[in-house]
Amino acid sequence: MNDMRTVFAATASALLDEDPLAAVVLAEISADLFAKAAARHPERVLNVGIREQLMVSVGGGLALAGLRPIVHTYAPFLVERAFEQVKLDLAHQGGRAVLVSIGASYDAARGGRTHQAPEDVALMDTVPGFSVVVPGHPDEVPDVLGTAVGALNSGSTYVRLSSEANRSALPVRPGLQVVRSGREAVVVAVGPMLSVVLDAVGDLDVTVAYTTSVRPFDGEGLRGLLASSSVVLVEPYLAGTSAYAVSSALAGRAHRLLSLGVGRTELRRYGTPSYHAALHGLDATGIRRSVTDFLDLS
Amino acid sequence: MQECGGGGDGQDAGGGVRGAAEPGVGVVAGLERGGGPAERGHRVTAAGVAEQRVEGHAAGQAGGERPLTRGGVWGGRPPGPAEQAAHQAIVPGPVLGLSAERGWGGWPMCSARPAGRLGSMRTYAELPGLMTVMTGDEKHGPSATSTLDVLWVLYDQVLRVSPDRLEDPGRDRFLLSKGHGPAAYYAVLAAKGFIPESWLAGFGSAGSALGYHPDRNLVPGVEIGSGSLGHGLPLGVGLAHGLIARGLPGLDDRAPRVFVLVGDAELDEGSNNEAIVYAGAVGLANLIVVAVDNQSSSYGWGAGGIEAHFAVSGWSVARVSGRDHAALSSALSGSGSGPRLVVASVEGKS
Repeated sequence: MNDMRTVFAATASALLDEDPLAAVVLAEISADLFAKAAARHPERVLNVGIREQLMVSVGGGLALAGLRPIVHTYAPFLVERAFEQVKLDLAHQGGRAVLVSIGASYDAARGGRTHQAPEDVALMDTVPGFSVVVPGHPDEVPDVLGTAVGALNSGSTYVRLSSEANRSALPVRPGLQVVRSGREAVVVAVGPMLSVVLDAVGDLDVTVAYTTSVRPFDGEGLRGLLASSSVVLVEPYLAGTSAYAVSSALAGRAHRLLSLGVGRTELRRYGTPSYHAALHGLDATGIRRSVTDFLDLS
Repeated sequence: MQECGGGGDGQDAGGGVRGAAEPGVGVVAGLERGGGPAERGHRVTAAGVAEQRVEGHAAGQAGGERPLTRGGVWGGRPPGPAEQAAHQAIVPGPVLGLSAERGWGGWPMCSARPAGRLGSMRTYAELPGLMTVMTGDEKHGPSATSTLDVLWVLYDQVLRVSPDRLEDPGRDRFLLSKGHGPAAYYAVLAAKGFIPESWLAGFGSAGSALGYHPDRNLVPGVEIGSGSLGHGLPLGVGLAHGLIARGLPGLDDRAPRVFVLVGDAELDEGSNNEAIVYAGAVGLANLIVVAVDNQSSSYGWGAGGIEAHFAVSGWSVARVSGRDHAALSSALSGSGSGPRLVVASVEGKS
């Protein structure tokens, strides 16, 4: 099975063939995956070298020229290094683009802190006009990307790809999808957290709802699912990133919220993504322990 | 209802962002916190300019300094309920509201543009008077006017753009990257009919489209919002690429060009270096940078000047007096196989 990045490159290359206004901007990362597309469309596949500020600004300039840019590199370099370019050269100008990152929180566990960006969604959440989508399986990527490019007439999208994935794909929908139903709590699993959440809650009497779309957050869907007062958020990035979205959605209802995600402490460890998941309590054992403590089921 | 931007092709980002004008919304001046007569606020019409000019002077004397913020009109935030209420009390009609589409309402004063005034073009000699309407200063120092001649020559002789072709995708683009001190820019835009002169008096006030840093979503003819330094040239690289990719026939059937005005100290920002090396390497021949050099960079550019840093990356370069209109026009109209830099030397900051 191809990973999300490979599927993304193939999907974007097809979009370049179909849409004369689509463009891709790169900063060396993944340039090899776009070599054939660049040969076919040299004026719309731009590799600016190791220049991430320029990469985002060029995306902004292409948008001002009426193109539909897809801007892509590793998450920390796309969102953190070039953040003011995202804020000003895209959002403030009124230009629109699809930003597609790889690397997620700790895909590059062996690479260390420099290649990890668990803060990316929290940062993108501060930029007006951006939706945030976190696919959970490579087979979801074509729909996610097609929807994001199709939505450029109304807004920009940040697409967060990862080497971590669920065991199987679900249809890509804008809101919460119920995977299983229960009474004690609603557990919201974002993107690639679904399989591990299902493993974790096993026999617990909880609803599990899956979403790839975290901004805008489906507050109405959450209100409709809530049979008790307890909500658990399981996000593959900084813990609590969507806590305020849940609080806003449930502002008129007494509720309890447990926000699980990546911790704020810099671990200074290498190893594998699954090792880092365990360190952050995001493996099945850790999630089960947190949920049973929260629901006082232990 | 008068449309703000004209037709466009619907593809240009600006065409989608800039919406229709709100009827009956005029330029509002004087909601600054500086106190004085301006605090009362009043609607400024074309006929009311003279009155406002007098009041503006009084406010300047009595109320002390204007609140200058890096964030512009609202200090970087949208208008709060009190400001919206104040605005509504002054201006009958829709409040400038936040919208996801157009910031807080697109070009709020478009329909206030009296079409008849647009025909009356001003001369270069009249620019200082227009700046006085904004700043209240009878005399303008070198730093306030460092860009004035370059801007005038661009709009008077070089750029293929006009108020009735604002959304034409084939127009030349001018990006004021150095967004500080935009009074000269607004004066030239008014003199050339892109904005009504009646807007100038409200410079920087609540409800005005003209902030201390320009916003493309508020001001017709302004191609980028700027203020934070080091963004215009990289944006210009993308815009130049985009115009090539679209293969648009320009006005007069000549391919559209992208002009970017930077300051010599602005080039301190490293983002410019990314753009300079890249644009030279790929040979973006439709990109022209004019660097207004008033020797304000603390560490300067060495013996070879700014131009040496561009030339080594493959740009064609020229240095002319930033006050010599004929030399500026000639240098800015040149073309070649790659990007072009024109350094416009002006007096140092006093």
